[in-house]
This record gives sequence, C-alpha cells and structure tokens, in this order.
Amino acid sequence: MAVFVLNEWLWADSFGDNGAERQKEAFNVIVKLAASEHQIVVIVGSRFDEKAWKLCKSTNTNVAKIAKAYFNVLRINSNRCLLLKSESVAELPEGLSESIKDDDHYLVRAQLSVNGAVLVTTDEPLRNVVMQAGLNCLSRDEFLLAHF
Amino acid sequence: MLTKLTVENFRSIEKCDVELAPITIFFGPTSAGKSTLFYALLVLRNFILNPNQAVDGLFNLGFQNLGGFDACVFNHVLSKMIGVTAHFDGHSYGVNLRKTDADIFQNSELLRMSAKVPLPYNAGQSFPFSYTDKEEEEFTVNWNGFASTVAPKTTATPEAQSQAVNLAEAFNGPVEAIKSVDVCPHRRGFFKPSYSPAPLTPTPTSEDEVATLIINDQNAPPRISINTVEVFDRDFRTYTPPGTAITFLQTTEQKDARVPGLLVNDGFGVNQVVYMLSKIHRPDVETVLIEEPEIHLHPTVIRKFARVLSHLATEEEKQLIFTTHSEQFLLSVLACVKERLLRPAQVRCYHVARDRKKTVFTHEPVSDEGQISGGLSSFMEGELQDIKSFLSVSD
Repeated sequence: MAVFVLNEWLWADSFGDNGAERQKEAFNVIVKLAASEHQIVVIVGSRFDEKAWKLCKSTNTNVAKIAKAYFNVLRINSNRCLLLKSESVAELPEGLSESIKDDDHYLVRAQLSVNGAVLVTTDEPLRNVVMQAGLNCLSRDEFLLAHF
Repeated sequence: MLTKLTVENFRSIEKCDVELAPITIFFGPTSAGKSTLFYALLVLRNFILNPNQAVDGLFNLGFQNLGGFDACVFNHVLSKMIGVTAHFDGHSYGVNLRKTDADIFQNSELLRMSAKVPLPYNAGQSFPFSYTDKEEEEFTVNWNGFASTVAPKTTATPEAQSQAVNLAEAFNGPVEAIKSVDVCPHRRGFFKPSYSPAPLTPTPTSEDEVATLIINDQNAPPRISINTVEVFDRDFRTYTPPGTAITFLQTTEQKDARVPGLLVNDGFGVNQVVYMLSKIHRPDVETVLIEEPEIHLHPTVIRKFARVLSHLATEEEKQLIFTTHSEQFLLSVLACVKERLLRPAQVRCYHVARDRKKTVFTHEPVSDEGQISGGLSSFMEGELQDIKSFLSVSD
C-alpha cells in the first residue's frame, strides 16, 4: 500500500484542459485508486480541495460527474483518503521552504506529515527540489505507469 | 435505547449482531435484506403484544404480511428456530420461535430468566425466579415471559418494597421499550383531505390511524409544523369545523404564495414527511424504524430533512433507524457529523449486501471529519459505468 500526495494536475486533467485523453486518464485514476489499497492525502480546505470544489460546480456534465465520483469514492472514503487538518500539518524545514513556491508548500507539508508519502506532480522544478531533499516523488506519467 | 439487535434464521438473515446508535443507517442494493432487520424487530414486538396466536400470525406486521413461519425461516428449513433478541444497556430480551413453541429469555446484570412456552401462549403461566440484592435482601420474581412482578421474600420493610418496585421497573423495561417501537413503512402518506378519529391498532400505519395520532395529540401539529417549516418552508395545521368530528390536514407556504391548502393537494413529498414526523413526535415512542426516508423528496429537501432528523435524534432523544437507497441522505447525515451537529458515535452505518443466500451487514465507521469507511462507492457502481460511457473509457 502506498500513500500519495497528488498535485493539482488531477483537476486540470479532469476539467479537460489537457485534452479528452487526459480527462479519461484522470477519471481512471480516481476509480482505480478507490479500488486499490492505496491512499491519498488531502489537507482540508487546501488548494487541492478548492479545485475539487470548482470541479463540483462545473456545468459540464462530464466534469461534474468526475467530481462526484472523486468525492463519493475517494474524498469521503476514510479507507482511501487521509484528511489532514491544516493546523496539524508538518511545517517545512527552512531550506525547503525557500526553494518551493508558496502555492506548493501545502503539498510538501502534506507529504512530510505522512510517513513514506509519495508526491505525484507534473511540476519538474518542484519534483527536483523534493527529490534532492530525499523525499519520494513521481511524475504523473511514472505514477500512471507504475500503478495503473 | 436499543443498543443491539440479534437476529437468526429470519428471511435472508442467517445470523447477525447489529449494534445501533441514535441514528443508524442501513444502505446497500435492492433486495439485500435491509428491511428484514426492521421486520424481525416487529415480529418480536408482535409476539410481545399478542403471543396468544399461532406462530404464523406473528409475521403479519399489519402493513405487510410476510406469509408466516414457513415463508420466513432462513432457507425454508422448517426445523430451524427464528430468533430475535433486542439488547439495551445492561438488558436483553428475546424469543426463539418454532412452529409450535417458543423460548423466551430476558437477561440482565441482575437476573437471567428464560421459559419455554407453547404457541399460541396466553401469557397465563408464571415462572418464579429469585433475586438477592447487595443488602442480601431476597426477592421473588414472577415472570410470565413478558411482565414481572417482584415481592420481597421475607420482610416487607418500606425499603424492600421500594426496591421491589425498582426491580419490577427494571425487569419490565425492555419489553416496554420494544412495545414502543414504531415504523414508517414504504407505503405511507395521506390520500384524503380530512379524517375522523379511527381506532388504533398496535402498529398504526394506515393513513386513518396516523391522522388519528395527529388529531389526538394537541402537541403534534405544532411540533410537526416546526419541522415542515425547516424542511419545506410550509407550516402544518389541522382544522376541525365546529360541531364536526372531521379534521382537515392543511399546509401553508410561508414565504411566497401564503395560500393555505390541503395537505393532500400539496406535493407528495410534504405528505410523506408529515407522515414520518407524526410518528417520530409520538410522545410514547422512542425508536422509529423508517424505510427510505428519501422517497418522493428532492435532493435539497433530503438534505434539510436529514438535518431535522439529526436534530430530533440528538435533542429530542429519538432513536431513528433507516434503510436508504439515497447517497444524498447518507451524505447529509455525514455532513452533520462534519459540522459537529452529530458526534461520530451517534451515527452507525452499515453496508448491507447479499452473499449468495445470506445477508451480510458490514459496519462502516464514520470519522469526525464525516468520512465513512468504504465511501459511497456502493451508490456509484452504476453511475461510474455511465460516466465511463460518456467519457468513452474502456475497462
């Protein structure tokens, strides 16, 4: 069983911003994660949550349905989604804090809060920083290849 | 409050022990056996209310006749007994039914009593038991399988008499609690503009009987109205023309139309909710079994109704037990947990499924964040397939 911190690529893909193929893959990630033994980590009220909410409000039927699937099979599922309260999330060490964009801090803080958590991101600079800090990180493609 | 229900060999339940909370929700596919648990408790209640009938009569629930012992025993193995036990804090009461006799048992920390009786049973036998309290005072307990009378064995001091009264109350508590269980079956609602008081059966489920419950309790209409305003923004009133014995059930929309109308002309969802609330607000009823509270309700209304029900469970100390096919209903209750309107311990959720012939109840714990073990996946199976079609996703 692995624990993943997903970057917001999941939502960009789900919205269809990156094409129909990526939208299908995003849906598959949600469904297959729910059927797997893996978990995702989400900080309550984080940008990840906010983007999921935007998805929920979409007037596009496909997008709204993907959002509903995410919420019902993953986000509300205590076996698959580890919710962290923002006040109880680990702080970033000083060195890391400066080399990561403010908007991405929450991702690495979530990762540091759960032993062995793996960050999955499409952001190459973020990935390099995280790996240099000795943390586990996969690109989106590596993640799909390894787990789906 | 009922804390647990144990059922054996009843319909699709071979054996189950299901713990209950102020709000308990059973969800799962159609025909999984969710309602069977309700019906088992009602069979036990029937037995308490009228044991002097052939065993088959116990399976007539009033609103539904389950077809007798042979039709209801698990896997139709007639040699098996059907067992139903209701557990309370420190007490349990149950019966094992066979074709021509029954074992009745009542266990508590104070005393264990059991008796074998023929069926039909006129409750005329007396089974004597002894109880000695901490002060070494001995009491004789005469039990007919349902009610106990308690008397000090030797002395009759005021303290001993008082203790005997307390003991009798404790021993009779479980049976009284089971008697006061009520049910809102699938088939419900009001289909007439007005009602006259009707005789009540032990399980009042017909529209005339439920209307009579409202008419006979002057506190019922305002209590129901407070809740209908919360759920629909409609108040609920009764009107009895002077000199008549008929009562009209009415609703009025509060904000916009403000036109009073008959309940029967209002949306059928309003009608349904009034029916359920009239049961829940019965002063003599603590536990209400409600089949699919979401029937005929819009998702927005389901959410509001779930919040009202959560409030009634916590503030009015009603125990509400539901079957549901509505993810919205379950989600709304979980949202109440997330918003601290309910504590996780006040909600128990069970996924109910069939494993070949047997019904399997799986407890799905609720977290203080309103998450539920297993998520709402069971509601999503069909929808996920549809989304796959829309997105042209292959397996």
